[in-house]
Amino acid sequence: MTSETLSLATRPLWPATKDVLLISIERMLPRPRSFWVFLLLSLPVAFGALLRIYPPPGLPLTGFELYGMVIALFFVRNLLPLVALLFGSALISDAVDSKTLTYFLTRPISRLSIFLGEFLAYLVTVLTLTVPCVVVTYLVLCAATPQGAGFGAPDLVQDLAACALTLFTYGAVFALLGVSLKRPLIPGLLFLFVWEGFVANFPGDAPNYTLTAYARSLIRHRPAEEGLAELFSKFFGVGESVLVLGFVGVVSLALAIWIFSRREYVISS
Amino acid sequence: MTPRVVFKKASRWYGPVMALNDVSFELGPGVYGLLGPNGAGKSSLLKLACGQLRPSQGTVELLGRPAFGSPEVFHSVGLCSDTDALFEDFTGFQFVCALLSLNGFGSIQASRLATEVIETVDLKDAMHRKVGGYSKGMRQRIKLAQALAHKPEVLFLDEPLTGMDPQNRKRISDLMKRLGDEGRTVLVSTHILHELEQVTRRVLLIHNGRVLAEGDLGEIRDLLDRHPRSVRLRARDPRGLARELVLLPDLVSLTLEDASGHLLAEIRKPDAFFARVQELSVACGVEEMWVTDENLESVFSYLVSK
Amino acid sequence: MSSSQIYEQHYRRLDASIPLRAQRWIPIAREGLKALFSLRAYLALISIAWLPVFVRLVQVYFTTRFPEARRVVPVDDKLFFDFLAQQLPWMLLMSAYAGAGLIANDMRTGGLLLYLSRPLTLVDYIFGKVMILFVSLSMVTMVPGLVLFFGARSLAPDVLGAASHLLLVPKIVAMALALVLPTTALVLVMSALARSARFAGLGFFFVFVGSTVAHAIAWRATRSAYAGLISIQATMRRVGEAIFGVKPTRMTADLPPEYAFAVLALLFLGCLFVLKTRVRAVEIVK
Repeated sequence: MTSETLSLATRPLWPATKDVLLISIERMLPRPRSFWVFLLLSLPVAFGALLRIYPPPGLPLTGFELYGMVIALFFVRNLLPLVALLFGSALISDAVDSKTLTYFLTRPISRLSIFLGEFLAYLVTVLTLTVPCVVVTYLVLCAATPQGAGFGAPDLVQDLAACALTLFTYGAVFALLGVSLKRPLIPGLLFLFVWEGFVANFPGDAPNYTLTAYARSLIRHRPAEEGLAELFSKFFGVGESVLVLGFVGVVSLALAIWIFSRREYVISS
Repeated sequence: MTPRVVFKKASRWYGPVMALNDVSFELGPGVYGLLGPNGAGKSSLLKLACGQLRPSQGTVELLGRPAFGSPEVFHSVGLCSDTDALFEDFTGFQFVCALLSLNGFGSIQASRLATEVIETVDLKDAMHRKVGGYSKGMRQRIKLAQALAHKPEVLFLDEPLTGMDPQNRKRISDLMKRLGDEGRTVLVSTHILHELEQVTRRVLLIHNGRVLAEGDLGEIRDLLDRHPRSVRLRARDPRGLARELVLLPDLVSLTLEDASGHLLAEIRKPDAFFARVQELSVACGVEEMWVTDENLESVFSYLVSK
Repeated sequence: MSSSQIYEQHYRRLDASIPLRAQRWIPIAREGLKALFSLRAYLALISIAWLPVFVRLVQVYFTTRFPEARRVVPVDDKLFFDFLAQQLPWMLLMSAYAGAGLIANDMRTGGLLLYLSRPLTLVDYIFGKVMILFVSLSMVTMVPGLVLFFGARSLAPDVLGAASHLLLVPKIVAMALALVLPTTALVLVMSALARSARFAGLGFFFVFVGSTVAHAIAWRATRSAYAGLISIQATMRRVGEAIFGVKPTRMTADLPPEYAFAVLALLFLGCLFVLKTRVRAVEIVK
């Protein structure tokens, strides 16, 4: 097929998106940054293994309770939003920084395909890094315990879905930040640690305006909160949480695509 | 035949800075040189031409459609940009194949086209090495390969010969000529005049965001010959040399600098002048000679002042 | 027939000594700081980080007008410890903003080669970069801490005027150093490991936040104070508590401060070692 045999039409959305996806996965997944993120995400595995091999006397929590704490505190509250900030804000800005965006913009594919391909590559990459860590953490902490590994299996499935939804929503929000701002890092960190960190534990309806309050509500077997969080933390129903997180994710994604489609990218040497 | 690239009164600002000012031209098949000093607006013109930028005023059409926001035209357009950016973790072969896949080629076809074009740019031996480890010239050639791989009708090449050795310069120059002969439109930007001379006679001269001249390189050459150029000479016997040089018909002025003992000549026909200096070099002990303003900037200043 | 070698030249190192100026890192630090101080966002970050100083000074002034309020908000060592501990978030943001690109940008753009083509050693380069971040972080910890002390001392001479209270100065400096030095070294390591400032900044947050969360989980699982040793934040806090002699928190109450100090010192030295080995002007691509 040469240019002479090709009609002058933009390639259909999904085949073009798939091609962008395949290239972007290749550029995201086998990179050192993914390896380091994987190492950090697998810290609970090492921690769990240590506890199983050398259990401290009078361990106050069961394996399943510990696992719930790891999911709620380590993954959903802290590390996954950071992972989303790391990869999500870089979706387009990384290609701008490395000046490779031109290669995508000078192909017969729509900007919608480019963005969707990049976002799907982000999801595939972060889920590839996260899912094994969560599952192995569960197995290390819950297998061969009096309750047995099967005890929390339904919760494990729900937790994996919660992780995926957290990554989707935060990823979309940070992708929006990434296409809107030249330097999204500091605003992203302020959002995560000032807005999300404090407002989620304010009294009244303040937590309604944070994502973390909905994300933590998805972990049904979360541990009891401590300190101020214990006093003020607000929790929502699973359905409401899924709806809100999904809605915020889709709206952010749509906005990000709208901005990306209209923006000029001046990439010069 | 319908022109493939059409600029109609196109202007482009970056904030308060005007990069291109009221540019109009049309390009059909063949090789065209885009010639201008650094900062003249060549890259902005190319970015407008291949739809990377929107014109602030006027229109830019590529293959009969607005260049900005018409991704479909890239089935038939290739760009080799001036940025030194590649997918560093890919091999040269993977890089070209990946971009071909974005053009809609299946993997077998992409492999065949990639191998073919990589051979054309003489990178076959290095095609399975990561591009992150390529030399500057190799990087330039693989960039060129991705622009050529899908056999586009219109090619935009921004400083394509940068970093290449003489052998590869010749190879790529010949390739550009051949593409033009095949009926493709090739727009090559450069600020080095003699690079263009080997490829085409048709040039667009651009300076300070304006297209100053559009036409045959011979006419530009004539303009250059009429442009008095300054030549500084150092000789054992400057006065004797001056006596001989004043006899030349195309000498505009001649100054003997007392402090340095150098002769400063303003000349119109450089070739004749240099030949005469060559003849006098032994007799007058010419030790050194250099042209003080043989850069494109001075030529353009001259053209602008006309 | 025998042959004798007439001449053979091998690769030789330059034997001559290179006269180097003293304090060669100063231009690197000076130019880096100049560049930072010309950024509005940097100045804004410093300005915001100084707001707590004024809040605390108002608090001190309030206690001079209503001495009975000192029972609720005492003006003592804890005031300065709390102030420095509360500056931590600003220090982290400043680290990500000012420090993440310090080496990463040079490695990515080849700027490191430009530095090393001058009469500078790698150690000068690293030290220059350390000083840029050290000054930036001190601007949101040590300097406001000292300004708070002298401001409070002039507002409440009856409480802080005694000569013995001057001991607070070395205490503030010591805790600020415990916060700033390991952070500086860690951020620069991240900057040297990543080619992008964004990833360096986030990498730093990953380590800092990751260790804090891991500590929270480990403590809740084991209720052991020694779990604090895995957290950079907890060790910094424990060292600060020991310096100011304030009551430790529940999570680190039984953690010997020497252990916390040893962790911070190891982190600092380890990071310097990584920096020395990692910062290279040329990268070989396989």
